[in-house]
Amino acid sequence: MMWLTWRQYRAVLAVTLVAVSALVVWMLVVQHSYSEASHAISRSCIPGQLNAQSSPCTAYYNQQVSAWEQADIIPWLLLALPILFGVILGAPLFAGEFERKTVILAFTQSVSRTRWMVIRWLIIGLAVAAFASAVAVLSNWWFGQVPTNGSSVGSRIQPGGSGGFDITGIVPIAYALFAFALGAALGMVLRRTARAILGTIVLLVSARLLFEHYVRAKLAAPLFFPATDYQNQTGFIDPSNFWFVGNGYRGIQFGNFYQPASHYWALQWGEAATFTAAAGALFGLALWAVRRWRA
Amino acid sequence: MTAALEADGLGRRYRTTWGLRDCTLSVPEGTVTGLVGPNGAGKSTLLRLAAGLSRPTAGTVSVFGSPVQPNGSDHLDRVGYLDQFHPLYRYFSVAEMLAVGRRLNPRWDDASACQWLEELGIPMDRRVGRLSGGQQAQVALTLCLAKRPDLLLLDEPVASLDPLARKRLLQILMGTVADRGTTVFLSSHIISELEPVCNYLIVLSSSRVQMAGSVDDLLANHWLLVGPQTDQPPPGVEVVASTRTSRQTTFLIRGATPSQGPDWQSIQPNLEEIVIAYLSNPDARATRPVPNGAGVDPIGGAA
Repeated sequence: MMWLTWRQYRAVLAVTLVAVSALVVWMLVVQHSYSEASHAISRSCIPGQLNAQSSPCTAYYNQQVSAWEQADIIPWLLLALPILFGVILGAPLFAGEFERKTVILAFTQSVSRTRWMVIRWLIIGLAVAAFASAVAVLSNWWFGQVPTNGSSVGSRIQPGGSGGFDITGIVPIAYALFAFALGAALGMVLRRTARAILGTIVLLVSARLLFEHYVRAKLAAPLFFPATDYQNQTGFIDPSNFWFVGNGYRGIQFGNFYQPASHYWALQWGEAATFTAAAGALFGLALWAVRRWRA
Repeated sequence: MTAALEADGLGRRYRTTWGLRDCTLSVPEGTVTGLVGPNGAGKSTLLRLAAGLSRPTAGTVSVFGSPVQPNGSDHLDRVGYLDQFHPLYRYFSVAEMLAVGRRLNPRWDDASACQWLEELGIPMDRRVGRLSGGQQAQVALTLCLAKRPDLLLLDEPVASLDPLARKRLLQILMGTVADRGTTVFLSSHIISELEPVCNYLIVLSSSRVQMAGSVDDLLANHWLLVGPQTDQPPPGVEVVASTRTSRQTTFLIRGATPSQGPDWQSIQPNLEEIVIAYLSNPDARATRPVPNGAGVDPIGGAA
C-alpha cells in the first residue's frame, strides 16, 4: 500500500519539491543580495551622498531597492503556499481515484478501504508536513533579515504581507496541514478533482480571513488604551511591537485594542492548534465518507 | 455443500429506480454461472453487491455463508472482481500493475500471472495506458485470476475482445478455475458465448431475476411445441413465449415432460432460444419449482 501510494504520487511530489525549492532559492538570493548591498553601503557610503551619480554607492543602493521590491512579493507567495498543497497534493488524492474509477480496483484487492484511505492520507500528509516545516524554518529566519514593510523589517505579531505572523512560527505548518486535509476530504466527498480544487481554494481563503479578522484577536486578552491616554499609548506604539486590533469601547471608555509582541506565542499556539484540529476533523469526515461510499 | 453466493430479497435502489429488486438465489460452490440480460437489467448491480462495492437497499447477500460487508476485509482476499470498465493505473507499466497485485494480495500467484501475460502476448514493460482496450481487459482479468480468489465475479470480461482473443481468454479462465475449483460468475449479453462455459444460468430483466437454474435443468425442462396456427396452447402446459406465422404456431413451454397432442411436435430448444423466449416475455418467471412436480429446484440446490 505504501509502495503503491509512493509510485502513484512520486511525480507530483517531485513537482512540489521543485516548486518549493524554487521559492526557497529565491528567498535566499534576495536575502543575500540585500545583505550584500547593505554591508557595502554601510562600509563605503557617506550618508546623504547615496544619490550622487558618480558614486559606486548608486549601484549598491539600486541593488538594495531591488531586493526590497522582491522581498515584498515573497510573503504573498508564502501565504499562498498552503493553497498549492491543498490543490495539487490534497484534492486529487481521492477525487482522482474516483474519476478514473480506480477505487474499484483498489477496493477489490485484499486491503480494506479504510486502510487504503488512512495510508494514502498519512504518507502524503507527512510529505506536506515536511515541506511546510522546511519552508517555515527558513521563512522564520528570513523574515528578520529582509525588510517586508517598506524599508524596515516587519513586525512578527502583525498579519498580512508586511507583517510576519502568518509566515513565521508554527502556524504555516498548521495552515498547510489544514489545506491538504481540506483538499483530500473534499475530494473524497465530492469525487471530482475540479470541484475539490475550487472548494479548497474558496474554503481555505475564507477560513483564513475569518480567523484573522474575527478569531485571532480573541485568542489572548488584548491590551486596551483609552483614547485619552495619549502618553501611555504613544510610548507603547512601536511598529515592531504591536498589532492594532481595532478600536471600540471597554465599559464606557472608548479606546484602542492592541495585541503586543509578547502575545506572539499565545496567538501562534492557539491558531496552530485550531487549524490542526480542523485538519483532524476533516480526516474524520473522509473516514466516514470512504466507509459510506458505494458504487 | 455451502452456497458460494446467496441472496435473499436482495435489492438496490438508485435514487428513484431499482437497479435490482427481490433477488433471491443460491448458487453452489464450484459452479460457473452465466449472468445474462439486456443493458440495465441489473447484472452489474448484482455483481457489485456481491463484491461489497455496493450496499443493499433491501435484503441480504452472503458469500461463502457470511454476509458481505462493504467495509469489512473478511472476504476481500477470497473474492475477485473484474469491473466492466476494467480500471487500471494508466501510468503504470504492466509489470508495475503486477507488483500492485503482489503487494496487496496475500494469495498472489506471480508465476501464473507472468505466464498468462506471455501467452496473451502482452509486453511487461509497456505502459497500461498505451495498451489497446482489449489488452487492458486481459491485464485486468490476469490481476483477478492471480489473486487466486475462491469466488470470481466478472462483469463483461470479454466484451472488448476480438473473437480469437475471447476464445484464448476463456480458455485460460476455464482452465484455471477448473484446476482450483473456483466459483465463477460472468455476465454477458451474448448467450452463445456463455453456453460452452457455464453450468448455471441467471437471466435478469428489468432489475428482477427472471430465470435461474442449472443449464442441464433448464434444457431438460423447456420444450418447443410446434403446431397449427392457434391462440390456444395444448391444455396443461406453462407457456413462456409464443411466436406465430401464417402457417404455424411455436410455443416455448416449461415443464418436465412435454404434453404431446396429435397436432403438436415437440423439439428440444437450445439455451439461446430459451433465454430469448424469457427475455421477450418479461412476465414469464422461472424461479418457482417446475410444474408437474419434476423435483428440480431451478434456483439452486444440488448441482
